[in-house]
Amino acid sequence: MVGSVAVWIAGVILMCLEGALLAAFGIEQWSLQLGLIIVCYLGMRRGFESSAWLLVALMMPLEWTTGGPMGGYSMGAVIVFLLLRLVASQLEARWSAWKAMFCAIAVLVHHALIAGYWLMVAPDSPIITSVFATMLPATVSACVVSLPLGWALARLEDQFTPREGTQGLSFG
Amino acid sequence: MNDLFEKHREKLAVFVLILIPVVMMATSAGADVGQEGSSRAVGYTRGVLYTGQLGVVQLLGGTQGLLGAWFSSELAEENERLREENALLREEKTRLIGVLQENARLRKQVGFKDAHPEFDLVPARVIARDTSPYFRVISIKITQEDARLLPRMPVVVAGGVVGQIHKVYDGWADVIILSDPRSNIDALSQRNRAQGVVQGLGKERDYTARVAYLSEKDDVQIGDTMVTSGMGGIFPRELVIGTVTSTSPDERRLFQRVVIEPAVDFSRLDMVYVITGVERPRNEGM
Repeated sequence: MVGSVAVWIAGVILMCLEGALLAAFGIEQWSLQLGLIIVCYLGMRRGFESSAWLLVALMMPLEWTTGGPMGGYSMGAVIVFLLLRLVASQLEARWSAWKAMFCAIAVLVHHALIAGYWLMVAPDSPIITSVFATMLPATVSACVVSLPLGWALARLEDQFTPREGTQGLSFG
Repeated sequence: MNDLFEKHREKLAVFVLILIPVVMMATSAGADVGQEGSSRAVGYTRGVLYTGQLGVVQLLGGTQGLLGAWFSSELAEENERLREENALLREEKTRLIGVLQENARLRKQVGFKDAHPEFDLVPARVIARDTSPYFRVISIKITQEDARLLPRMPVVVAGGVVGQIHKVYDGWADVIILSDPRSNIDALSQRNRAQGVVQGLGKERDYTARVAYLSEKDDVQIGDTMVTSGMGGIFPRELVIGTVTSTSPDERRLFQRVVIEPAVDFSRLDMVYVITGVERPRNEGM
């Protein structure tokens, strides 16, 4: 439970930090989409139920920091999460590159879903071209960032999960 | 009842997961720019997040000088003998350039205010941008306590149009800039008054926008300046939007394909102004 709260806090801080740093350094055309990578982390995390509730709690900050019309980005994130859970439960991926590859595919799928959503909402909008144009850089950044970020979040959770046979937080 | 709940916990989680975005979509303004106010709880929560982002921006502003010095010393390693002296001079130079640039920027802003006494301008500081690669949204902190902002109010700098307010929270706002694909601004050519609508392209490499609905008969040339037309009641007239960089005929031979480069460099936005009101001169609309 405490581990989940820690991941939520870390997720919100990372998303806000990304937005602030991009603005401070004048980077407008490109982003890491850390929020989406955190969703990928949840998709491959232990425990379906806690991960799902964690995603529910992250949805509003995710919407706020992405700046799009409410709901579209989150719906894409939910579908990506459920697909990743489905795939992750069928695989025993010990090789780290697999995880990075699945995150990259998840980001690709998310972009495709966003494009599909916009095709329904505003078929003439130039955003559809924009979504496809940013697909490749987003996939590459997901591939690069997912491993260190996933590792860091898993270590963070470990810090808040007492091991069996220990007393947890204690001076003794 | 408890057994039933225990049995279907995972299904309930999936249901809530899908329900929340559906509710968000159903209650949002969709692709339209300008969303009406949110609840006080949402405003407060967003305020906490914005404050954190403002802190980061301020911290970075404060450490900019230190970073400059660090980079300077890194370069100066090539010449060991003059390293310290070089670093000192570079640091001083960087600081001076920074001060001069800041000075020029402030002069420009003051000049803009003086040049447009008819506008009620509310200054705001850029604190963050969106984290998606396809939207173009910036978050601003309103520095004037008594300012009352509304969705769709124009946001400008001395160089020209930035965009329009999308959502307002207490003291904070999200602004959709003109290169966002959801942005539509009525515009006309300063040279011959040819009329069109500037739509953001949301391109990944630049901030370009297109001018839609420009008739095939309109004479539009590379280098033409596009300004706000004042139609639509959102933007006042004659604010610079950008310069035409390319023109080509449309396949259907009805409209032209015109691309413009915005007058504002969105990567260097620091302070912006929100136009909260316009004093209309006699016998003239907005």
